[in-house]
Amino acid sequence: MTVKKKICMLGTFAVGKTSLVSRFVHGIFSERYQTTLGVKIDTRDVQLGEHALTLLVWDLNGEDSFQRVRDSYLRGSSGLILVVDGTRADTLEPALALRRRALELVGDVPTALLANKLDLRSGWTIEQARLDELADAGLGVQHTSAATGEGVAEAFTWLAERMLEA
Amino acid sequence: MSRSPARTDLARELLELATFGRDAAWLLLDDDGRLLRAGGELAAHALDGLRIGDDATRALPMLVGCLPPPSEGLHLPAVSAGSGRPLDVALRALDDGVLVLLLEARTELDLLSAMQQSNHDAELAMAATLRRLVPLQGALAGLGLRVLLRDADGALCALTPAPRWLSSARAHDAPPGARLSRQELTPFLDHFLGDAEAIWTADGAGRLRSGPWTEQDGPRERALEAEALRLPDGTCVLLVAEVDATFREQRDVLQAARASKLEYDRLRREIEQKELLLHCIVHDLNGPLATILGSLSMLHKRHADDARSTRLVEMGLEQARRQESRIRQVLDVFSAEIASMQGFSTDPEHAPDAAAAAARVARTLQPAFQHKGVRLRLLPDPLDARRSRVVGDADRLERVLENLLENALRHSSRDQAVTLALRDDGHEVVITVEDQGPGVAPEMADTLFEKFGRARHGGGAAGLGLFFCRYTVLSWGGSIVHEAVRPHGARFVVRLPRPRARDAGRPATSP
Ligand SMILES: Nc1nc2c(ncn2[C@@H]2O[C@H](COP(=O)(O)OP(=O)(O)O)[C@@H](O)[C@H]2O)c(=O)[nH]1
Ligand SMILES: [Mg+2]
Repeated sequence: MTVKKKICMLGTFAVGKTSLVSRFVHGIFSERYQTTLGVKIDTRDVQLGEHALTLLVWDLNGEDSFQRVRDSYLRGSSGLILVVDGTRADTLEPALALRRRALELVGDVPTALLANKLDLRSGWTIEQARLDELADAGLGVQHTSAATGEGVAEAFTWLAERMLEA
Repeated sequence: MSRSPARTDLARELLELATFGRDAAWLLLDDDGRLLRAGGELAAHALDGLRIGDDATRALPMLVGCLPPPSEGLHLPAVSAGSGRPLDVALRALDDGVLVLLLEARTELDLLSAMQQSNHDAELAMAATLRRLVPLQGALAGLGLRVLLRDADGALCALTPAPRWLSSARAHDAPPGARLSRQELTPFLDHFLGDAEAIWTADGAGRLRSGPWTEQDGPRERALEAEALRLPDGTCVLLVAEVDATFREQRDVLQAARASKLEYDRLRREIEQKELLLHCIVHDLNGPLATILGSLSMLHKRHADDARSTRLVEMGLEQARRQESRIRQVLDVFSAEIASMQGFSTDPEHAPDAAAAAARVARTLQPAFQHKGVRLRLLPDPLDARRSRVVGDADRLERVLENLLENALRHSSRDQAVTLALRDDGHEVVITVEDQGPGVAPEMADTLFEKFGRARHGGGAAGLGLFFCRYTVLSWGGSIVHEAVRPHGARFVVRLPRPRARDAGRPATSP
C-alpha cells in the first residue's frame, strides 16, 4: 500500500504556489494570474527507491490583508513548502510567519523554501545571505522557476525524502 | 444584485421544516404566481393538476398578495386541499423566482414515534429521515445543492445524486440512496468531514462551513463550498454548493486588488530604477564640466590680450556655464521628486541618527557574522547624538548599512574582521565599512556601483545592493566610494551631509 503524505504550499499571493503545483503535477505553466480562492488539492505519486508515495499537495490561497489561511487546512501536514518570489524580497517574511503558525499546529515537520521565478534573474532582489541563513537553520532552500521547471522536481523530491525519514 | 439568501441557509431551513413535517411539496413561481417548476408530494395537496405557466394562486389562494415575499421569507398557515389537515406554507424569494414549500404539520404523536424510533433503531430512523426528505430532492437540486446525510456509522448517504467529482473513487455519479464512505470522497471533503464530526456528534443543532475549495471535473474546475449541519432533530447533513455569483464577484474583487498591488509595486520599482539611472547620467554629465570650465577660465586669463581668442573662450565659458546651470536644475528637480516620492529628512529634529542606525544594523547582523566566524567591530566616533544626525531616512539608511555589511560579510572568511566606523568630518558624517577579504579586482572597480556590476565573484544581490546604496546616498546629497585596502580588503566610504538648521523657510530651532 502506498503511503499518503500531505504537503501544504504556503506563501503570500502571486509568488507562484499554484504555478509550481501545476508544473510539478501536470507539467504545465501559464502566464495568466488567477487568484486561488480557498484550497485546491492535487495528487502525484512518486517513487523513492522502494517506497511508493502519494503526495497530496494542498495549494492554499495566498495570505495577505485580503484573505487568511485557515488553521484547519494546515492540520495533518507532513511537510511544508514555503514559496517566495525572488523578485519581491518582501515575500519572505510572510512565508516564514505562516510556517511558524503551521509548526505550532502540526509540530516540527520538514520544510522546503522555494525562491521562485528564477527565470527573472535580472529583477532578483532576495538576499542570498538570508537564504543561506535559513538553509543553515535546516530548511531545504531551492531556487526554482515554475516557468522553466528548473529546480521544481528537486524541491518536491527533497521534501518527500525528508518526510519518509520522519 | 442577488435577492436570494445564501442557498445553504435556505436549504437548512427547508430540511429543518421537512424533518418536522411530512408530505412535503414545493413550487417555484414567478413574481406573478405562474408556475415555473414543481416537485415533491404534489398529489397529497391536490396540486398534481397544475401545469407549467398556470396561475398557482388559484390553487393556493393564500398566496394572493404575498408575492414576492420579503427577503426574510414568509410563513403562512393553511389547510391542505388534499388531506384537509393543517399545512405550513413557507415562501422564499430566490434569484429565479419564488420558492413555495408546503408541509403538513406533524402531529405530536408522529413526532413522538419518530423520536422513539431514532432512540431504538438508528437504521430505521435513517430510512425514515430519508423518506421524509426525499420530496425535497428536487428543491434542493434546484438550488444547485448536493446533499448527503450522515448515517449512524459515519458513512454518507446521497439524498440528491452525488456527482463523480465529489468522489475520488467513483467514475460515475452516485444515485440517491447510495452510500459513500469517507475515504471514497475527495481529499478535501475527507479532511472537512474530520472537522464536521465535531458538529455531528455534539448535542443540539450546529453548523460548520468549509470555506471555499476547488475540485477538478475533467477539464473544468468547480469552485465549491460545503456546510455540515446538525438539525434540531439530530439529522446530520452535508451540503455541497457550487459557489454563486456573489462569490465569484468576491473573487474578482480580490483578484483586481491583488493585481493592482502587484502592478503598483512593479511600477514603483521601475520608476525608482529609471529615476536612479537618470540621476546617474545627469550626475556623470556634470563631472567633465568642472574641468572644462576650469580650463576655459585659465585660457581666458592667459589670453586676455588676444581679443579673438578671448571672444571664443568667452563663448565657450558662457555655454559651459549654461550647461552647468541646466544640469543643476535637472538635478534639483530630481531631488525634489525623490524627496516627495520617498521622503527624507533634512530637518535636524527629525533627521536619522547615523550612530544609532549603525548600532541597530550591527545588532541585527551579529548572528550572521557569528555564524560565519567573522568578527564585526563597530567603531563609532564619540559623536554626541546631535552631531551624528545626517540627511536621509532612517529605514533606508539602515538598508544602506545592511547592504554594505552583508556585502563585506559575503567576501570575508572565518577569523577575518569587518569594521564599521563613524567619523565626524565637519559638515559631513563619514561612515566606513572595511573588510579583509580578497578585495575588488581592478577591472571590476569601474562598474562596482552599476546595476549588476557583479563587483566581485558571486555578484547576484551584491550588484543590486551597491547600486541601491549609491542611488540612495546620492539622492540625499551624499557620496559613496570604494577604496582598496592593503594588503587585501575593500573599504566603502559613505559621506552624508549633516542636516542644516534651516529647512523650507522655517527658522532654526536650535543653534
Ligand atoms: N516568470 C515567472 N513567472 C511565474 C513563475 N511562477 C509563477 N509565475 C507567475 O506569477 C503569477 C502568480 O503565480 P501563481 O502561481 O498564481 O501564484 P500564487 O498566488 O502563489 O498561487 C502568474 O502570473 C504566474 O504566471 C516563474 O517561475 N517565473
Ligand atoms: Mg494560487
